[in-house]
Amino acid sequence: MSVDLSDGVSDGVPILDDGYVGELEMMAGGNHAFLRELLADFVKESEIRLANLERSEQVNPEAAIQDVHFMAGSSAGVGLKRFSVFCRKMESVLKETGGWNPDWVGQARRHHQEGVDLLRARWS
Amino acid sequence: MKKTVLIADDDPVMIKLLEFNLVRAGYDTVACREGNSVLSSALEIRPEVAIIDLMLPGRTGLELIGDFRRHGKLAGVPIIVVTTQGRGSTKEELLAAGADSVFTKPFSPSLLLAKVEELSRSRVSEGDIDER
Repeated sequence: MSVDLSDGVSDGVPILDDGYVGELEMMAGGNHAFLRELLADFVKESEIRLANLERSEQVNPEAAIQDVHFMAGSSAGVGLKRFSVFCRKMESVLKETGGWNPDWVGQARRHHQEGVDLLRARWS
Repeated sequence: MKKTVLIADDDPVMIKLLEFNLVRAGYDTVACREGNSVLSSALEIRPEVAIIDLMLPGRTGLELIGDFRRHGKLAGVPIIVVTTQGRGSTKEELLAAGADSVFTKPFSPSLLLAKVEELSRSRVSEGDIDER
């Protein structure tokens, strides 16, 4: 089963959760080195999970659910709202149907990259 | 002596974020990234508060709440459960199982710290009453 998840994600959800990112920045008190470390940890872990998903035609849906669930939570932790919402949608469809669309990884990577780029520029 | 907060989460981002905030507020922290090691770590360090991710690999947050509440030496440890929207037990189920508080990601780090401090203070008060 192939489900298109793109509708409403790209247009309706902001790339960053500005309120949350602002709170992170306030918490860090201008320590952008800490925020860059946080982002680097997120990128490292999420790249592993995205690579797992690129092989997901061969793995069971439960493994893919764990990967997208992890990324939904972790990305929310750095303020990548659009990517987090997209991961939650993947998780929801996987749980309901068990179906996997290989196009999702490309879409996920796009949402991931646009958010990471914005944060890197903001915390440079 | 510093109070120790146990952080049980498989996400290094969440661990780093919580540690940054807690250490700055004067706490020591110990992190576990795997559910099966949480109980033994907790018995070793006797945490002031435990922050547990609901979907921890190896042993879920719900199972760990039960482990703590059944264990004589850990039954009184306040537990904050951290969840991601859309998976696992509901907030009501977690509170009924014995969690003291539930936070859904993304949550405000300062509100979570305030909850840790509140739970820590209430533990001290209970201890004072017990000693009288």
